[in-house]
Amino acid sequence: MPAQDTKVTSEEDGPRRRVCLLTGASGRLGRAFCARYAGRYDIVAVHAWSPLKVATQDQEFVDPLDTAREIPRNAHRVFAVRADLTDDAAVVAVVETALHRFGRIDLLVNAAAYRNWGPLIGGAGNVVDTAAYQLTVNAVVPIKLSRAVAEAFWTDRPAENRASNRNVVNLSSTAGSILYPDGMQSVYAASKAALNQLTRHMASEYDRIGVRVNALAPNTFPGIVTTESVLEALVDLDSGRRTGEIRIVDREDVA
Amino acid sequence: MGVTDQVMTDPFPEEPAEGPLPTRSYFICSTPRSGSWLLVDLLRATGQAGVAREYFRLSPAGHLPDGPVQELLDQVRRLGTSENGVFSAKVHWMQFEELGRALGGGIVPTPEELARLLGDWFPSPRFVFLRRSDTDRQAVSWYRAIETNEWWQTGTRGRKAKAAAIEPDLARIAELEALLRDYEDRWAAHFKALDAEVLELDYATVCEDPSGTVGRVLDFLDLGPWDAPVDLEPRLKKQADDLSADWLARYQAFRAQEPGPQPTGAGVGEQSTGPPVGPQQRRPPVDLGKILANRAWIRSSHPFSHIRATDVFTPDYAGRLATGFREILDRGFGSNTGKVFSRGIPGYDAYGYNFSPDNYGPFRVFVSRPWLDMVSTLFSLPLTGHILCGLHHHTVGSGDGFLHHDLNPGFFADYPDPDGIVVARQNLCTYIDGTVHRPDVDVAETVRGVALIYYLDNPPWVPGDGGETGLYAGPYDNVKQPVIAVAPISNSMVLFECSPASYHSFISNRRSPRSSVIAWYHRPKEVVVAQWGEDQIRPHRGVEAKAETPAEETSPSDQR
Repeated sequence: MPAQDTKVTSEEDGPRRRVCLLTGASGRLGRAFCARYAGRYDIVAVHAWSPLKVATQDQEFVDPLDTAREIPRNAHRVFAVRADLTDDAAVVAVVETALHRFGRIDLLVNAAAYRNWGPLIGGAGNVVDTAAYQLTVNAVVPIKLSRAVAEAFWTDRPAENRASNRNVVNLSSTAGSILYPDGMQSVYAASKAALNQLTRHMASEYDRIGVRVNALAPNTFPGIVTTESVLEALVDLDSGRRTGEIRIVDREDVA
Repeated sequence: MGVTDQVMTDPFPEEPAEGPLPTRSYFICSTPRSGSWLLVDLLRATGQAGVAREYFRLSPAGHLPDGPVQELLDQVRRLGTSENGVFSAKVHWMQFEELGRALGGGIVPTPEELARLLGDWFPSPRFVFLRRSDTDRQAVSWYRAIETNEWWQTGTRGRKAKAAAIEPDLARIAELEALLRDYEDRWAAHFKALDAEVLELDYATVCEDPSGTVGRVLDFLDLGPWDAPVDLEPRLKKQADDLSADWLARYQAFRAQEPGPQPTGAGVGEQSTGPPVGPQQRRPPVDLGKILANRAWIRSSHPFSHIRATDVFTPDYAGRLATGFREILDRGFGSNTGKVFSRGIPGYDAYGYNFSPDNYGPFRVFVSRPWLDMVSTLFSLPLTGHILCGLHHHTVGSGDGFLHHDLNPGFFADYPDPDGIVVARQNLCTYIDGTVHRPDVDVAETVRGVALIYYLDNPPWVPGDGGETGLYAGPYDNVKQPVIAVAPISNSMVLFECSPASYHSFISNRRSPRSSVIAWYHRPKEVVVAQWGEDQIRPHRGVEAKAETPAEETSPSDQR
């Protein structure tokens, strides 16, 4: 599908807020996305055990010394769902919950990730021991959750999906396409490489139902690139028309 | 160590000589560095006011010399009596309390009982209460003596060199000042309870007018008149010098900025009317507005009512807490509760530390009135002011805890307190089961209302390190799969309402030690019973078993 730069009407311009199903909501990108865009998207924030640090349906910010004070971050709340997405039943349940709450899903952000760096031989060696889990969380869960959304909602609505510019963004990494010489990222990098290739195949297959699929591949954030630049790329992928892209976010001299 | 050995450690180690049995007696009731040796020396010089020494000196572990206390008293009453039959001894509060405990067979008697017990040895005892209004100077002096081990000076030999090398620990001085005030309070409460004859002397007056002071004491003892030498020259030299003045100025500046003890000038008549179990008047003010950093805490109802906060205190204050923690941890592990971390929390793979009631240092914020009020408001819960606060330390690889909800009783030695804060004094009443260690103690039975875990001095945390506090939906959840896992990130905190639903547990720390402050804020038992029923209040783990064995002081009980 040809890439276009035409942007659909964003929620800042119109009345209809986009519904975003976000995994990894208590992680670095998820947290930043909720904090920055809870006013623009209706966010179903999926997290495992780490608590969310944003206002949700069952938590809010409070000033301990002035409990009556209005705190701006309470103005926009995300809808929190706790789930272990390696459990197939939980994957289905998350989608059902999101649809029950908002009636649709316009954007799926697969940001949940398990990152275990270490040597393949020598050392503690647990990167090998946890390889299957790492591949599952980082590459398999995104295709399972995407399929669950497709089966529950998108498959029968290709026209509506196109009209609403519905899409999937998979959180990858520059490690998915670059060999870093630290010798520690093997399984993690492989999982992201797998995710990149899965993203391309998803884009090809999901085109039939009118849903775009892209990957976001930043370098380390914050640190080498800013979290803000990653967020901007994410929102740009959502509002744009591209599909099948692996969007690198790296230092300017590299990108 | 016998008395004869002990008295040799006073400034004037004359060979002790046995006098007659006393026909009248008095105690010089003092606090450390109150000028008591000065007063003792002046009085001994009269030859008619007894032979006061510090006969009840305690070992470093806080005990009187080995052997029956009766033997000690029999020896002391002869050593301390002058030819005219007047007995005198100088005694600090902690020594007096220990003497009482020994006479009471391990239980501190009431003031009346103690007077009767002492009266068997020392007829018609009277009390000379020596105090200082400048407790800040007194604390500096005490600190310096501790650090240099120079407790008195009789000549003009220079002594500054040793002290000059010391960088004074101002927070420690604040703790010592709080301790001095507490000792004074306890003396005052003791006298009030006895309605005893007390002559109150001020250190400054003793220094300025030694002859007049001696005259007043002899009058008080019905021993006058006394022909005072025109120029009575104390043998002891005032030890304060310009270095003391410098430390004092620094300490006063420190105290002005920080939550620390406030100076006091209260006299005997102004003391609490409560039983002498350690009133806590004049707690230092705590200004939360100045020490809280993050003012946007997360209040959540899921899986049960709790609050989480990161960056709780300003970096400066968080640093003080971490330093205070490390100072205690560096003392090592042992069984001496109140001094070092100890093991012994039933079913809990951790070390616990109990604060001494008047030695919280920077941790006092967690037992302060403003903090309690804040907690009460945040949870919309009426709290009684009874607080148990301590420290926990999990070494690397500590095992998972078990799911429990903390709706447990809390027993306190109760006493009136101006701001309504009653911290646990487990030497008087065991927190977990209400065992009383002194007959005059009133016990308050409360129930835990809010639990606090404040993480501090922990290495940077990343997922996979473990050591979280898990919050669960029910009692049979997998400990490894909490609804929420609160990471033990330094200077962050979780507070939760203790209810039949507040299941939580420590999750094994695989990579780093985990340290925390823990506290429970209590509510009236009847409120809890009305809300959930008495059967929901669970006894502490191990309490039933403990009933068969002598009660002992416990660590901050139950696991986090």
